[in-house]
Amino acid sequence: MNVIAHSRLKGGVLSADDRELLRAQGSMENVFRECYKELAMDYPKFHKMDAPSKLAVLVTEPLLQRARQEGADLENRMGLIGMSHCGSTVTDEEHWAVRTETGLASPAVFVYTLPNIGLGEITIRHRIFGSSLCLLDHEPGTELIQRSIRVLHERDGMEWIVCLWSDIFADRYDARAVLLGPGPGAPADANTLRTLIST
Amino acid sequence: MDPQALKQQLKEQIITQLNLEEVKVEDIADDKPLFGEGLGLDSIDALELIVLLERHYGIKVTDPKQGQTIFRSVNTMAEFIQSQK
Repeated sequence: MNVIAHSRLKGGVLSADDRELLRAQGSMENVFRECYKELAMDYPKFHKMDAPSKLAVLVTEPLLQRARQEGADLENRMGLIGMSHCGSTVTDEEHWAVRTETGLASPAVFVYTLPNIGLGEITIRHRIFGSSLCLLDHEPGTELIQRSIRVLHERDGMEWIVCLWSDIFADRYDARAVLLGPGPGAPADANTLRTLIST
Repeated sequence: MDPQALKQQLKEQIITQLNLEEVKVEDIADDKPLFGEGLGLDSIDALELIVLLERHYGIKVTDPKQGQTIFRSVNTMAEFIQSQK
């Protein structure tokens, strides 16, 4: 498989293929809102998502738009690999804070207290029914990524794969994603993946 | 509370609690369906509305079937709240 495109969202900057799409100021919430507008998503459900899901959806949006342009069969042949260190920790904390403060859990917060929920939101938005893997690790290790790619590509027949590392802790966030597919591009070898996702 | 003021307050609470960022108070007509073709709320929103009633009005909805009637519109929510006083 080859790297067709890549993207990153960190420190108020959203970029795709090393081209800056947006530079926003202010809180994480404000940055995410500006990215949503920039990407012209027109998807009201976005505003109901927790922060980790918003981050995952935003950083993969340019890649999945590109995949669609390339004629990828998103419904049946798109696989997703989502990796994170903190998972849904910020939402777990919010859930606990709401319960402590009001004595009542918020269903809308509670449903996001799962580390793989961001992948779920991506699949709902883009109607992806292929295989996906959610991995929690200290860092985006190249060997694990390559092994996961093999599982989705060779075992499950996914012709396209979006590989995502997204992490939020407190107000710090970083997300990187690559679109792999059959088209022209750099081979998805260890060096390339290390450069695009692990560093 | 005056029924109109209660409806206005309910609309503000619905927008805030359900994170309806692209919806304004004036977009929600008193008789507009909250689910389906109306405001497009989903099942998680329904649960959130149950919590809203308990948190802000001290009313517990214990029978989920009741929800279908209570949460039909802002009008029906307001009528239900006033009937509980």
